[in-house]
Amino acid sequence: MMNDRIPDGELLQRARSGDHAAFRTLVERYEQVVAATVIGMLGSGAEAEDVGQETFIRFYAALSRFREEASLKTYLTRIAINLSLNSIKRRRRFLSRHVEGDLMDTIGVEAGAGPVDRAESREVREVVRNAIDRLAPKQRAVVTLRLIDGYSTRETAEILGLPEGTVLSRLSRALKKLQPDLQPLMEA
Amino acid sequence: MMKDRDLVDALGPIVRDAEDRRFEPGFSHRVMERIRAEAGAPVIVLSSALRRQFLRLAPIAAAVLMALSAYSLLGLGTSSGQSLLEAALGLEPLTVETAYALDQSFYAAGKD
Repeated sequence: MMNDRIPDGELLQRARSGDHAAFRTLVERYEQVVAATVIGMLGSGAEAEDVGQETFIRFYAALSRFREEASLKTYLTRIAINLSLNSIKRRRRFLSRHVEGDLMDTIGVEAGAGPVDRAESREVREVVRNAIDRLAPKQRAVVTLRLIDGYSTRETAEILGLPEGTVLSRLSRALKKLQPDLQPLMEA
Repeated sequence: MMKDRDLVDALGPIVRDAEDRRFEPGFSHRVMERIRAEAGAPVIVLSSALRRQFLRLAPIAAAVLMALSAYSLLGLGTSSGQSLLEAALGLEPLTVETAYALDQSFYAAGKD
């Protein structure tokens, strides 16, 4: 196991020269960051796992181009968000071709469902997941970054390549959509 | 009506804590396996595929070209100031009469 205190820059340099162990350490270091983003966007399950892996594979392919102008965390989150948005588009395209109307909403919501431990937590989880899945993909990205990943408005704007005002307006619209669905949980 | 900031504070923990956002154990191993697999997979590049096909077909094409040239040379021979290349390509000797005849046949075809 490679030392966790080795700085990212040094690991990047080693990874660029073909050191797989160094790259693996980076994957282990940022796995949680990517998981929070893709599972926040897609729900847990095979689709999120696949997008998570793809995020690191894209990063590996772009190692020589990564100039460290943005932090690695921001860079990986940006890849993860973009790949998640693509995945949502693909999912919607597939559902719109093969499934109709209300059934599409149900399947769309359940596509990210994964194993659960307790009935109560499952219920909470489903309510939250359904509410998030009903958001437009762009609003979902803002909610994931601001509410789940805990990025600031400025950082969210930087990751999404948007003006801060756009982030704030998307967040405001998303919160207004989420509020009625999550009201019972807020009161509990 | 709650302000956005209050909504972020109220909804944030609910959304954040609703599900376990972690990959299954062994994620980094699976990523490295995919990277190794993709690095080892043969990459079919169009240019190399074209080059392979060219190298396969070029000798056959050259042999056919030489056979046709030989046939033209033997059949027509070189006559009336015709160059070796013209003869090899099977071109008729170009004279004022042949050019005129070509023009007339073209004109006749246009009339039909």
